[in-house]
Amino acid sequence: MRKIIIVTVYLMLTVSVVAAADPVTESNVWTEVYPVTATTPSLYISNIWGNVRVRPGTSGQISVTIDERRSAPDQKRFERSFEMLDLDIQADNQGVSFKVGERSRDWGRNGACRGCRVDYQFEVLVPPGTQLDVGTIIDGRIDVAGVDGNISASNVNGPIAVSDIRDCESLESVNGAVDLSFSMAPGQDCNIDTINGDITISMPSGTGLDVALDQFDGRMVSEFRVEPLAFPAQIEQTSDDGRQRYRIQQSAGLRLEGGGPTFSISSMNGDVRIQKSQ
Amino acid sequence: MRIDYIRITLVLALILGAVPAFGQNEPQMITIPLSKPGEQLTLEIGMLSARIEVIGEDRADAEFAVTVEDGERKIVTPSGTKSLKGGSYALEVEEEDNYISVDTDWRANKVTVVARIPRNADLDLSTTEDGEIIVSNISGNLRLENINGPITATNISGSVIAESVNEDIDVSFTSLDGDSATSFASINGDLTVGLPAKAGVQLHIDSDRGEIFSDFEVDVQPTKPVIEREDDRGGVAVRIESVIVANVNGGGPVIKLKTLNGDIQIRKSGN
Repeated sequence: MRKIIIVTVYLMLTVSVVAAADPVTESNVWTEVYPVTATTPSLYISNIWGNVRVRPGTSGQISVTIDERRSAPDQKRFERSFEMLDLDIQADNQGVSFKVGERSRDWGRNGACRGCRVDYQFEVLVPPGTQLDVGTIIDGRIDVAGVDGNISASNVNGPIAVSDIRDCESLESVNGAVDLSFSMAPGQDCNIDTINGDITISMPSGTGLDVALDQFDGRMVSEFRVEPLAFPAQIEQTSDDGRQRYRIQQSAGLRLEGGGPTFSISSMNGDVRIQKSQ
Repeated sequence: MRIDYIRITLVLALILGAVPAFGQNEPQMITIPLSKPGEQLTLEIGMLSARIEVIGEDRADAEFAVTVEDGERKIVTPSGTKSLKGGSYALEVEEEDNYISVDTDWRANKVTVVARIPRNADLDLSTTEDGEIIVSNISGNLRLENINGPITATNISGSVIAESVNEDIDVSFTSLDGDSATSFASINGDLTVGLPAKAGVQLHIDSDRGEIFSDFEVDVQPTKPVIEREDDRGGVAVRIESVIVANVNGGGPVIKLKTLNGDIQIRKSGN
């Protein structure tokens, strides 16, 4: 009889532990439309987990569909994740800002919400002329196509694909590839930076470009006519809390088809390919 | 004939015109005011491949002339593979509290740094490939390391620790700091030490296959091999070191000289 009680208590304990350890997930999908009146509205997205996809929409509004998937190792931490990981949305007639962030810097470290995660998949339609500054960090892809405003994009562990655009300002990835294609010859300077990814730039035939190239271990391929170009060394001086820093920087230069805006392209281990649009 | 002459002139003009476009070897100049002018500074330069020259002068700031050798990149184009001359690099010079460091990033080819600094300075200079270290007119403690290139230091007041694997070390002192260690070591290079005529030092010489020359009369001291025993988990290591100990002008600060295949020369400074 005593043995039966012990076994029963043991089984109850086991069941309760399993129940407590069940991961909890919750998904929500919603769409918001934000009216904007500025001639060059802005869209800012700072994501942690998940994709950012941007396409052209209609004038006067930014339409966003957000797919949120919140997960935690147990119910207690799931509830706590609302206090620690949130989506901050700021909107006015100039544009919209989405920032996925932690309210507490120690949310992942102190164990209070270890294993908590909130994936956001952003699907955005932007009006003509929208300036984009979008980024994600983990398990995400930046996918922008067909927009005509200026673009800045960043990713840490995934790719950046920006196609059929007019101009870019800054594209930065650490471990992902950067694919960039222009609908017409670009008119302004752009920085493209990766550590381990390949960089592919597609431009209409006959596009002129100057390239400041910083490359260590990859190959450089160009379908355009190329000639060498000498860039002068830049000396930059900064001062910070009693420390003076002087930096001399020089890039290898090349000119495509008679030259144009300057693209600063940097990759440590990736290949760089500049090709003609199909 | 006239047309040919004009063509040749045009081609030459084009070639000459193109040269400055690739002439990226002009030195970049950086002048840094010191946080504590007049006080001892420390200069650290560590680069993979570099010619490092440090010159002590009567000045209150530090001036660096930096040149980086052109690199070459291959570009695959529709008309074939082309070479792109001109390197890409970044070099940083930092100063904080009279401590100056010079460093390059991973892209730089061989760098030449000529540093003109106040005479009172401690130096920590190192390079590995195809390098050269040259120091003159410095008063302080010097640590100089050049794996595959020579080390030359003249008009030094203080102490020097210099190490090379395959090349010569040549250091001449105006005076020695008796409180700090002075040591020269090379596997395959010659060691030359210049001392003031009246300097009193004690030489500890460890030379395996080379010859030893001295401008000074030396008083060789009786010595016994030094035996060091280290007990370790894997067994016992016994190291026996036998050096020649010789006093110059009655002895004084110790100078260690160690080489396997090189000669050792003790010279009177100025000779």
